[in-house]
This record gives sequence, structure tokens and C-alpha cells, in this order.
Amino acid sequence: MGEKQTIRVLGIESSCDETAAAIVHVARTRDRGRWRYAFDVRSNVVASQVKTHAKYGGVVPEIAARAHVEAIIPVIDEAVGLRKFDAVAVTSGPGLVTSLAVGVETARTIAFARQLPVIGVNHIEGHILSALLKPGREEQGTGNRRQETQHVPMSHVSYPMFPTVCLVVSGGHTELLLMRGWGKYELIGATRDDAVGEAFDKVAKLLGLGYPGGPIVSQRAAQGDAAAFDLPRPMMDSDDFDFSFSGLKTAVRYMISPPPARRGRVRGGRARAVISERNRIVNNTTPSHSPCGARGEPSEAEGGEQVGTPKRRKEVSDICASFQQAAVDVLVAKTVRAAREFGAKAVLLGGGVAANTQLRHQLGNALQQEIPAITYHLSTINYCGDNAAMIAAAGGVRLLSGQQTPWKRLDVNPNWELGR
Amino acid sequence: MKEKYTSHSEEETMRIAATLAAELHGGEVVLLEGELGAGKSVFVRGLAHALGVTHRMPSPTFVLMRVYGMKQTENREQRTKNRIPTPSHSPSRREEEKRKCSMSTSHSFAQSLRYFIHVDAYRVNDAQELDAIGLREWLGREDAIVAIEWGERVAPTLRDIRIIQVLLSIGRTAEMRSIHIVR
Repeated sequence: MGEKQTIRVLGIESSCDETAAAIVHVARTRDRGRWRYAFDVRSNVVASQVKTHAKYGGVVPEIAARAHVEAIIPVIDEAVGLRKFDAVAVTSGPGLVTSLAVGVETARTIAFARQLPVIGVNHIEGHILSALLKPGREEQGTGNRRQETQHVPMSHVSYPMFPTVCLVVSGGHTELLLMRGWGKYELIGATRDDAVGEAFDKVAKLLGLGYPGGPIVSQRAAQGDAAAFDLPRPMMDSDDFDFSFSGLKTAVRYMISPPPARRGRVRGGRARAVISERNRIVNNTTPSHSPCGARGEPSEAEGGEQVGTPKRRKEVSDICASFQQAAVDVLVAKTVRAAREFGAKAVLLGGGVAANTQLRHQLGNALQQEIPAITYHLSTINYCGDNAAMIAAAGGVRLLSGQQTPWKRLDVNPNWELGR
Repeated sequence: MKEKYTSHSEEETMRIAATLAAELHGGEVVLLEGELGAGKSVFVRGLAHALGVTHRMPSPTFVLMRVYGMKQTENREQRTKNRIPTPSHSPSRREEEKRKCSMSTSHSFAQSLRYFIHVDAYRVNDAQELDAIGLREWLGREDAIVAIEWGERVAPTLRDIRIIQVLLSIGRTAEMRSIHIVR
């Protein structure tokens, strides 16, 4: 083993609706001709705007930018405390340009004022490396969300064996990447329309369940029967690694509200019951199909539980379960196939939707069955959502290999695609 | 002017979009209106594809706006042709026919078109927010076509810009859509 190099990185993330900062110590050693990295998360603070945006049914750019401006300094203060850092890493894309700018400008200022190296990090690379972070000596969340987790020594960190297939799934992304080495990515597939998390959000909206859709839909799915409704598995058998979730959302829409002519002869009373629940939900909370009508109306955050008999609630749960299963089936099938085709030694799962229990378990089971020798790394739940620890980790890897972004040239790159 | 189409599949919706694409010159803004699942994104993809965007086109809901460069092969051919007058022998006529063909099917013949901007106004509170993400600089540019989903939200602010409205609604069967193009 060669000499160990360590860098202490301040990570900053503000690409969507979370303002986050973290200090991560990244160490690398040379072992049998290969670089190995170890990540020690010293602090990890996330201020979420989910509640702010819930009433709008999604992230509102202007409000998000303003909230980032208010949160960023307190969040960085809390993450840094008395800790020292040698460099700054910031998400510079992809994301919402107005949100990204807040983090990037802050990072630039810190780097300039303290004469430290800075690097712009791709958000997706952060999500990939989040699968390699172990719950560390960290404080999670701010205010009432604070919790201490037990510190795990750096030596316990496991390393991916290359090539690695990475599945990144969130509200804005559904991507399969091939990682041939540290920092070497190749985009092998992506969604052609909606991201899978976006599909969860839209289905939740169609069912009147509120925002964000992921946790609500999977919570309802847990009480439902995944085989109750027959939904399509879009592009599951296509010979590429692309995804499509827009059609799945439309299929759900038909299940709850068939077009006028068919409305009279839907099969059985089952779907009709769902329609009537939906109509009531629509009448109560989302006054029209047009989002203009829904905008500004508080959504029913607790999943529309206040309406419907137990039987009708069961049907909504069945739709959620059937939808979730359809989405998970496609993600699992394509990931396993990619792993086999590229001879992957490991699979990484990251991103907000990686918190979905069914996806975590079913991908793990499928890999174990089909490719028993493969290693499966998945983000721990608190690193699935957007956070800055993953950005500090990704930045640290690049900084240790000699890369940095001159502070003058650091800029937002809202459409930055990793691996293209 | 108002045109009405009925589509029976996504492919047909894309073909209808391609006929609209063939009439675009640059600088137009296409506003798409219709409920969730009405086929706005499919129409936009049809439009972009016909104009020469070969890139994968994920939903812009998350980032609000995506900018695509157009494949310029067809156009470049024409530009070279315009600059260097070709003698009128048979290959040129074949070329000419090929060009006519492509005009009527899928490729843009507007020489200056270089960018396709895909916008989703679903979560936009007022049109000024789109200024913040830099949409304004693309509006009315002669080398760009802008397509805005949930376009009714920003329509009032688009003064002095050529607007084409595309209204999509779900028809009698799951696959059927009626499409109105208003300009």
C-alpha cells in the first residue's frame, strides 16, 4: 500500500429544493495498482424546502431560489462549525439554474476569500458516490430533524470493483451509467420522457394524494395489491437501456378516469368506485384539471385519507402498488441486463427514488439471483435525497486526482450530462 | 387560422407535429395546452424530431428549460448549394428531388434554424420566472423554435412574438387525441 493522501472538503449543494452543506474527509491510497478512496462524513446538514413547495405540488423556481439564499449561510455555518477544510466542492449542474447559482456563487466567494481550491461537481456523480458513503460521525438535518448517528471508521468503507453499473433515480433523473474507473462515466441509458420520481409525483397528483409523490405513493402501495391492476412495463424489452415513464402515468390516468365514451362500460364496479373517489378528491382539493386551478390550493398532504370508505381507499392503494411494481420491474430488468451485458462487477443505486423499499429489495434480490457474484452498493436512506456529503465526496475524488475549477471559471451548467 | 386533427396513436401525433414543423421558419413560439397525459410532450418530441433534433428529450419539468442544437446536415447542404452554384446536370436534379421530398416529410428547410427550446411552464408562477432561467433571450430569435408546455400560463406575456397554439385533448378511446392548431 502506498502513502495515504487526505483532503478535507466542504461540499455545497443547492441544485433543486434542498440547501445542503457537509464536511467530508476523502482519503486515497494506492493498492495493487488501483486507487482506493475512503470517505469520512464529518458533518452533513440539509435544510429542506419540501414543505414550502408541497402546497404548489412541486418545486417553484422563484421561491426555491429565495429559500436557498436565506438558508445557505446558516447551513454552511452549521456544517463547518469549528471544522477545518482544505477545498470547496459545489454542485454546478444539472439542476434548476436559479437554485444552482446560489450554491455556485457562495462556493466561489468562499474559495476566493480563503484562497482555497474549488471544483464544480456533477450532481449525478454525487448520487453515484452516495452509495459509497457510510453513515458517519454526522448530524443529519437542521432544527428538529437533527439526529446523531454512530461513527463508522473509514476502514470499513467498501470499494466498488470496476466496471460498475450505476442506476440513478430521482425526481429529475433516471439514468444508467457505466463507471469504468474513478471519474470515468459513460451514459448507457436514460429516460426518454419523465423521470421515474416525476412519474410518482404525477400519479400522486392524479390520485389526489399530495406532494412529494414518492413517499406517499410507496406508503399507500404497502397497503395495496401490486397485482390488482395490469399496467404496462414501458420499454422493458427494448434492446437499449433507455426508459419511458410518461406512458405509465397516462395508463394510470385511464385507470382512474376513462375517457367519456368508455366511462359507461368500465369493467366491473371496481374501477368505477375509484373514479368516484377520485371525483370526490378532485372536487374537494384540486378544483380543475388545469394546474392553474390547483395552484396555490393546499394539497392534501396526508394522502387524501379523509375521503372514501375503506374499500375505496383500498383501491387507491392497489393502484399505487400496481404502478410502483410496474416502475420497479422496468428499473430492475434494465439494470440487471446492463450489469450482465457490460460484465459489471458491482451495481450502485443512488438518488431520491433509491429510498424506495421495493426498488432496493427487488433490485438486490434480482442481482443475487441472476448474477450472484456481483456486489450491490446502495445509498443509505439519509444519503438518497439531495445532500452535500455526496458532493464533497465526488469533489474530493477529483481534487485528489489533481482537478479543480479556477474560481473565475466556476459557473452553473444546468444541462450538464455526465458521461456524454 | 385553425386546423383540427384527430390522432389515433403517438406516432400519428408525431406526424401531425411534423406537418407543423414543416411550416416553421424560426422565431415562432409553440404553446401547448392540454391536461396531464394529453400528449403535449409527444407533440413536442414530434416537432423537435422533424426539425432535426436527434438527442434524447427528457422531460423539462425538473429544469424548466432544455436547449437542443439541431442537426444541420440538411441545412448545411443547402447553404453550400446556395453559395456555390451547381451546374444543372442530373445528380443535382436528384438532389433537388431529394430536398423536395424531405420538405414534405420530416426535415426542416428553414436554413437558419439552429436551436430547439423545450420549456415546461407547469410549475411557473408567473412568466417573469422564465426570465430568470433565461427564456426571454430565446424568444423571437430567428434561429430558434421555442415550444412551451402548459403554454397558457405564459401566453399573456408574449407580445410581438409569432405564437402558434396547439390544444390537445383526450378523445373517446385511450389512444385518441384531438389536436387543434391555432395560429
